Amino acid sequence: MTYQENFPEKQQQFAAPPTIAEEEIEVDESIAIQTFGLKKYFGRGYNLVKAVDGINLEVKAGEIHGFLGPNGAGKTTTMLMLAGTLRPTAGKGFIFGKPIGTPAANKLLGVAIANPQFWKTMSAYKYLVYMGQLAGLRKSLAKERAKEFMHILEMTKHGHRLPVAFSTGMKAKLAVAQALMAHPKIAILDESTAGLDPESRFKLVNTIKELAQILNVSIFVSGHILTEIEKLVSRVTIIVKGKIGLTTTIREMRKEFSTGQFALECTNPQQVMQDLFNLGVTSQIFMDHNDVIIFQSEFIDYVYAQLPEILRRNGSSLMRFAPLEVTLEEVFINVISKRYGADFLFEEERLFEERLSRKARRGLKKWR
Amino acid sequence: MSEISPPIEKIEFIPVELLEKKKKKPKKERRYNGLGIIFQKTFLELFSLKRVIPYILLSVIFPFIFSAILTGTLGNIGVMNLDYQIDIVVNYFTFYAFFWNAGILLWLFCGLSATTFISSEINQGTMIFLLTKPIRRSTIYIGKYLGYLVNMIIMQFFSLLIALTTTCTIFRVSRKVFATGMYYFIPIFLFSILIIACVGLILGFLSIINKRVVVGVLVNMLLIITIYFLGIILRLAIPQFYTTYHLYLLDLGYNLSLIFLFFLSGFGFQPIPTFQKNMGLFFGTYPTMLGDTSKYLDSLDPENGITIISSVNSYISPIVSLIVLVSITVFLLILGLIILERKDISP
Ligand SMILES: Nc1ncnc2c1ncn2[C@@H]1O[C@H](COP(=O)(O)OP(=O)(O)O)[C@@H](O)[C@H]1O
Ligand SMILES: [Mg+2]
Repeated sequence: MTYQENFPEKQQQFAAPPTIAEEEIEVDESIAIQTFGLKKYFGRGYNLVKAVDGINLEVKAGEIHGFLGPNGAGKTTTMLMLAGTLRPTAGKGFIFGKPIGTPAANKLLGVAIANPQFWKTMSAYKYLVYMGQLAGLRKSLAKERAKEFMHILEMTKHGHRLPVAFSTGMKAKLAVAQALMAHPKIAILDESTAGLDPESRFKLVNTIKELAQILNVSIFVSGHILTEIEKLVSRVTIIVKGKIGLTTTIREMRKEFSTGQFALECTNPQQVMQDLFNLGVTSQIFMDHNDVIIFQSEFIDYVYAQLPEILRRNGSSLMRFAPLEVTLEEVFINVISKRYGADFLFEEERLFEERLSRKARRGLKKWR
Repeated sequence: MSEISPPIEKIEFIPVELLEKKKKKPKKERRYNGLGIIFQKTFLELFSLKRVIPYILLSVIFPFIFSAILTGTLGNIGVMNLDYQIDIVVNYFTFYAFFWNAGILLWLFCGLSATTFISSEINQGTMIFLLTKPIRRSTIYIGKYLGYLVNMIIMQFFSLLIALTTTCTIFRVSRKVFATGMYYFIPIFLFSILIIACVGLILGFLSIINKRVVVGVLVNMLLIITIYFLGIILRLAIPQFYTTYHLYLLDLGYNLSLIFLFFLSGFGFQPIPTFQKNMGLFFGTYPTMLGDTSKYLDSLDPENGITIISSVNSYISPIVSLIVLVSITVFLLILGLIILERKDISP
């Protein structure tokens, strides 16, 4: 089969965006975020980037929803479309039934972007007051809220400073405060916890969680590292290359994509591993460089029963025994290979290379 | 239960029309939410000392030098008769107001503020904060524009006032002359407002479609050169083509000066020959020896003596110029708002 014959088929398989018919759009005012075939393309021709390619999102009211994906997956683009700063190429989106990009939708919305920048002449406190006023609060109320949120986020003593001089963490916190201060019905937080040190991330995550509960805000938060927002979210949507891979809860995701491996940490690991191997029910048993025994087993109940005896025999004490945690990378790879075939991630690169080599071949022919 | 029933009776009492009015009011408020806040911020921000001090200084310096030189050539005007004083002060003030205070200086400062309406917010990355609030994009733009407009009008008032005061002080004329000057101050001020409004919209449009400040500054410079210096070159270099090929249609300076004189003549302004000579030289509004001289020679009237009062070179009516200017700016405003509404803005 020649390339030309192969190409259109491939393109359909991998790049054809799902088209949404008018009848399929059913706007529900009780759902926080709904999108129908939302698309955003940048550039033209050779530079065309399909940043978001027909995604159907659904974020329920009152939940904290994670939006996960590798860098460049289209998270920020999606969120900016929801916030009304980017206009969709195609598709529709609704926030509590209001079309995105309208003042009515923005009224219900608080947005904190990644890596926010600030006015160079405005102190943090004044900035918050200004933001509150723009979001529709009276000046007195905006001032009150600004003080309140600075207190909650432990920034009161930095209120008079210029936010341009803040650290990344402080800037992120300020952006979050700005998003939540008008008590919106839904807040969109783009990588608000990314790039923070563990301690301040822990604090910020807890604060956001508490605030969401107290203010009854739904939260749609993005990230590219699972552990960063794992503690925060109840459900996640995974986006890869501008398309939705899957939407589940964290717990289900772990179950579905568990590798069936177990990790055992104990003293005297060499002998314990030997004995485990001798049980005859384990496969692929090995020790990683932290002296943790990792193995797979079909008969894990039997292992559970025998383990105390093995440990006693070798005089070793147990430190940890648990199923091996899946990393987000593994979930990604699983999701993608399940949905689009194993080489999906490299498909575009392959097409690009083929196109190049075809050109080169043509050039070579001419030259001959 | 008794607590609930009264409101039901009350509702029945209110006529339907009133109810509708009551419902409509909050909607209107919501729609214009943010305009005042954006206006206020822009207005106050533009009053920064970095901007006000150079503006006031520059608006003093030119009249100061100009009238200082004039006192050298004209001698002590304060001792002449009152009509002569008024003529001199009003005419010279009017000329350099058109050239400088309501001219180059105003264009410079208006341009510098207007080219950053939207582009500065985009460059700073703060536009996103405004866009994610429940405000229309057009409201953001208009709020900023109005803030700029009011700010510039106030600044321009003081600029002109200071210029007139400086002139009167240096010429050492009486208070009466100043009072007459204040009368002609009105058309000049009105003309300034027109310029402020138009420059704001023209360069504000530029701030929407282009985010590099350099481009805005360059376009502004180009406009200034076109208006204040291109006409003189055209009329000197190719006088024969100027009228035959209708080059005056492109001569922005000529059109602006027509509008300016139209404003002045509404207040009964009488130009003196020097004024006519200067305006004719720079903007071609009056016939000069340099350009098309036939009219100038025709108007020579022995009975008039040395004073030659020639009429305005009216290739086109000033009202047409005014209408064209206003329609261009309104068109740019609408186009700008449409472009802004569709624009993708990412941090
Ligand atoms: N303004 C833009 N112009 C062109 N391409 C863009 C623009 N914004 C984003 N992209 C592209 O769209 C893709 C998705 O980007 P983004 O949404 O920022 O990803 P994420 O936030 O998930 O890391 C990237 O490939 C990026 O290069
Ligand atoms: Mg991003």
